[in-house]
Amino acid sequence: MAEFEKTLLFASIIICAVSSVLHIVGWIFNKESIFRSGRALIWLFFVLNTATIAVRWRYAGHGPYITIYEVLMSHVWIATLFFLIISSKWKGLKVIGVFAMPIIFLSIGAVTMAPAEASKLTPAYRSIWLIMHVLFAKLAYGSILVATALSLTVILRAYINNERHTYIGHLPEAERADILSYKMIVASLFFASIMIITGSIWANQLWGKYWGWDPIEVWSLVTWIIYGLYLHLRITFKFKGVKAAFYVMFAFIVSVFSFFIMPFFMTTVHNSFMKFIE
Amino acid sequence: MLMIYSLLKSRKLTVVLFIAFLPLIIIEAETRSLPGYIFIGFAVPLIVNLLLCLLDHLKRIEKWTVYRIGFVLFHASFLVMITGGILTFFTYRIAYIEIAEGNGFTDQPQYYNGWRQKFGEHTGTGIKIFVKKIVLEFWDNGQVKDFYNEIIILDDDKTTDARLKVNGSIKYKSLLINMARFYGLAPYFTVNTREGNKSGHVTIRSDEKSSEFIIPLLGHKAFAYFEDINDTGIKITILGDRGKIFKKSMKVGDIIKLEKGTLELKKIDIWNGLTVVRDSGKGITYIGFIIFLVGLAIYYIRVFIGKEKNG
Repeated sequence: MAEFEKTLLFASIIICAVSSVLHIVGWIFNKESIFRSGRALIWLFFVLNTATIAVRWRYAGHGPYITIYEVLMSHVWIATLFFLIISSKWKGLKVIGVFAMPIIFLSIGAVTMAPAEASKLTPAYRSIWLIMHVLFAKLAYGSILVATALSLTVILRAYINNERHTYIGHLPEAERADILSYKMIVASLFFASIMIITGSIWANQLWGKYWGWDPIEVWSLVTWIIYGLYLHLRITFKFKGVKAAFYVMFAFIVSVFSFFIMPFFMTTVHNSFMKFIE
Repeated sequence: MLMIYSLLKSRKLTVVLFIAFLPLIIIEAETRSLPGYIFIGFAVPLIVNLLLCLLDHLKRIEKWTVYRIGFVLFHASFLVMITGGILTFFTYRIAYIEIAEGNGFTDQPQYYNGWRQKFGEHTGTGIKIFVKKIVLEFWDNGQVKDFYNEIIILDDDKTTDARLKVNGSIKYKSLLINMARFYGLAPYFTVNTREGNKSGHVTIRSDEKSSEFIIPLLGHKAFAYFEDINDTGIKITILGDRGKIFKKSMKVGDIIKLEKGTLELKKIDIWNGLTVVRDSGKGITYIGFIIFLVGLAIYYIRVFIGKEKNG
């Protein structure tokens, strides 16, 4: 079962890489058919990613929310689903796959760096608050991913001449991308708020304190404040356009640091779930 | 005076304070060494700023709309959360006890293995907690499958039975009783000397599998070990007088003869760690959480479904 899971994972990584390349080639060389192939491969990637999670769920006997490997894997699943829904629902957004897919590719790459051993369902994990906490973390990451891709669009629109580089013209209008990015950040702040609150309720049930200064906890708060400041600046000081887009890029780096890098380098309850009550 | 007032109600100050807050929390997370008054000192201008901004905003409202209510709610929620946080800071106390099955304790400092509080001199509530049964089951790979305590809470004449679970703390009056992550075997020894005898548990943690203790009445340093939680015996090493070392595997009923007395293993129980917490600010913080989410949802819903749907 574990071998089959590994095969599916590597197949999904290859498909994701090919999809990213086709997106970029199709976009830059204005080849619609290549771009569409890249887009179609996102669905194949999504199916493979779903199958990987399903196989693991079957043999581990629990959802993908316990080990860091499972959490990152399901982050990628939700982020991809989120991107597919948003880019299908809002017209002209399929093109931001040129940014979203490479980010998803890097994210799924991070999964392979995490230890893949499965954990049994220990009592600490049997909590609805934990499931909500992990679910909303994924939704927050998904909306951050789309917001970042949209902000990158704003930056490229501002700095690359679209008469000389016609591929830029395929990107959404800067103003629209800016507004959509703002919407995604509103959504991400809401999801991140629920993530932090449900996490603190779970921590209180488990340890009798709702805030424990765990590094991931703190970096989630830092990320939350950074996105909160964006909204504050936007409402109060009409902070938008290229400046706001650069801010979103910076916020994205902080969020990637919180979600993907910190668990690998810090001793935190978020990377020692398996250790808890072994 | 007017200048100070203008500064304190400035929305730019909010940005500055939040930016200043970032390194502060990162330093605290890394070092856990910042004194509390730094946070309190930081919270005061933030509270004043939020309060003045809110009052200023309320003054300027001509017509209340759903969005305005949302805006006021989610900003006011920060005040509620900060108030809860400050109350937690001043009232929080946590006590830890390692308790064997079939034993009880009273919520008073002298009964606990550890007692931590920042302010005041709490004497405890006097509520008695008795651990009737500890249920501990394992998966094939050794991870815990099920883990809970059947407890009895005795308060004046009232007796309350409850099941304490890993994810199910028990709230009783002002106390929150939690399971801590530690458990293991607790051999129960009796020491007999010419001067008298004494009995008690030694708790050995499952993750460390050994425990150091001093044998009462005899004063020898000793180490107790086990290999598996299902063991029916333990191993013991005693550092006797003049460097003499006693090493022995003990089953229930075994007696070790030492120079000035004997050590008998009477039984082996299972034990686990519990924490008992008192936190007067938590409820207020949770109310702040709810107000925040409601306010945020009401305020920003317009971005998705209202007239600002398209920006």
